[in-house]
Amino acid sequence: MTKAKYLTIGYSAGAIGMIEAIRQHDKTGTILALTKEPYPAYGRPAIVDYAMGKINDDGIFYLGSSYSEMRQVQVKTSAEVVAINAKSKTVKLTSGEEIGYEHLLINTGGKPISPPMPGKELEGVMHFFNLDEAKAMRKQVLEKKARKAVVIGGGLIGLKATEALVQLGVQVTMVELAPIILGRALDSVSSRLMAEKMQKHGVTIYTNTSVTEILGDNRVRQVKLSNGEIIDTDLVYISIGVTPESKLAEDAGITVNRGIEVNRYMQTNLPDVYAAGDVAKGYNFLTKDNMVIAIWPVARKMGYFAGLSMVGKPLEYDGSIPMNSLYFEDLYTISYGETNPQNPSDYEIIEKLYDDGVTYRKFVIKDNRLMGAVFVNDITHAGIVKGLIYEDIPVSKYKDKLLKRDFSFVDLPKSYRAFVYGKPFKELLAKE
Amino acid sequence: MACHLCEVACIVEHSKSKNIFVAFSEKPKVNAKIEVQMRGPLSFSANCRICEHAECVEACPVGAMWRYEDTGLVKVDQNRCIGCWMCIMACPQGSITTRVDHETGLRVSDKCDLCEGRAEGPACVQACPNDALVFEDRDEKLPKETPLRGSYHAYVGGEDLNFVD
Repeated sequence: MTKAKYLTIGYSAGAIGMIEAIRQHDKTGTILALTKEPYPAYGRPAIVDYAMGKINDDGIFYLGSSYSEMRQVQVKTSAEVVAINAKSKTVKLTSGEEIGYEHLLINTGGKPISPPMPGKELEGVMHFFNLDEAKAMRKQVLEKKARKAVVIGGGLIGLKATEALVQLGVQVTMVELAPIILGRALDSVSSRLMAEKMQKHGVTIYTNTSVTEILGDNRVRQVKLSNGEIIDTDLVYISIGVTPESKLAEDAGITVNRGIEVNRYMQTNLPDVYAAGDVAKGYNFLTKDNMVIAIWPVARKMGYFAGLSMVGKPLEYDGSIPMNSLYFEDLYTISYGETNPQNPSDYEIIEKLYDDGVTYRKFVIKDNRLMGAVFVNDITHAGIVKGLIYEDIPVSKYKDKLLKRDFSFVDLPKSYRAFVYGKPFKELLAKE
Repeated sequence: MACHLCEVACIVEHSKSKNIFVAFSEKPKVNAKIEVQMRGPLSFSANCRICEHAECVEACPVGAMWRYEDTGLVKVDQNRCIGCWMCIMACPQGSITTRVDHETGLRVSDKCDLCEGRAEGPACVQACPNDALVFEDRDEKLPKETPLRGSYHAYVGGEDLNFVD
């Protein structure tokens, strides 16, 4: 039986983080990555670039597919795990093969939500979630000459599907149930700015609307909306949300509650079994609770801490926050934390739409701390705000400077500048 | 002293022409990777400090932003970068910028590379008339070398942020 010291189910951001941590301390212990997809680690956020033809196989695979060799990771692709046996410390593949482990990472990610919908089994109805689906999009447009598409769901994945389709010359209609698109990341102003940009590029957007039926014969031909309208289409993308792929964990007796429960060392309730990434609930230090934050950098960080635990150098995970870099063509946005509080009166909100009508900034403050921020169009220095959130710097020190167009380090306390630029604190004290 | 010579030196060094008269209008556009930030009489030259635990590398989905073990440098491979800006989102110093040139279709992240391969070291340090910029090899433990947050409060030892400029 094949046995690996470190085994990962899934080979994406979380697994990469784990591998980075392990190889810093253990150059020789065997690492085996199992992935049910036919590909080694690739950048899932980049499938939009692949679909639009901007990058090819070399561009989408992590470090151009040289990563596994560089880090001495054995990889089994098209290897789906059907069961985890934490007692015997083995996993079983669909082929029946069993693989043993000393430390196991569950990095199975999420899967697209597929609601019951009449007509969804027709050809041309798809998700936009993995590399194969990016290839399928290209095939539908370039070979099967799809010219119109309906994207159901105006969230992060719907946005990506829309951008790829528009770049491929397809006429897109986006249908969103909520009053605004991208509501999980953006607020109403930034959402409107993104929607206007998309509309400028020919995208039709319906909000407060749903698709009630998908119609067609051997393939999709039309969709019916909740407002009664019927829209002709060649393709339908269902992108209404993602849910953790946690069945394997559940079946194995791992505590799952809309995501795998892990402690601050990424451990599940089963010995030597860890979880990281979109399948797991990591600590959010702003809301002070555990939640799935399905973003690449967060998954990578969780994986890193899992790896540190596995290799005997445990560090307590100090948490992350939701954050997004969303864009359409050349309109960029970056957002952090709580950007659209349900009870705005509980917060202090500072915002400004600048004279060009498209540059926008918003800060959400509570108890003298930044709880969230949005930047539209001008994303320069957005990361400084992330640093301020992460380092828990009281807002009162710089609140009146936040809306300055060129807000930067000069607006922050000298001690923070010194900290960031690595000046030993005692030197700073001596000068004062 | 806000003379901006560091920015000029950076652009010239990273241009193809290496000529100050031509560098500024080269295509695709060459940006300065060091920035002089100003507010009233105060100026501060800010650039990437090649963090030990690089959050930009953590954020990159394709491995374009990478820490090279042989040199210890964190660099962006602009041939691999897809311009998703997640590194810009992640960098707590805000020292990564967009490099976008609509004419050539270039859309990548841009960052200081410590003028790798330059015999005299970083061009900005050489250009600074005030020696405000210093290029040092530091061995001591400094903040931002851990993946953990909350190092600032440890750094100031719980003292209030009272240094007013």
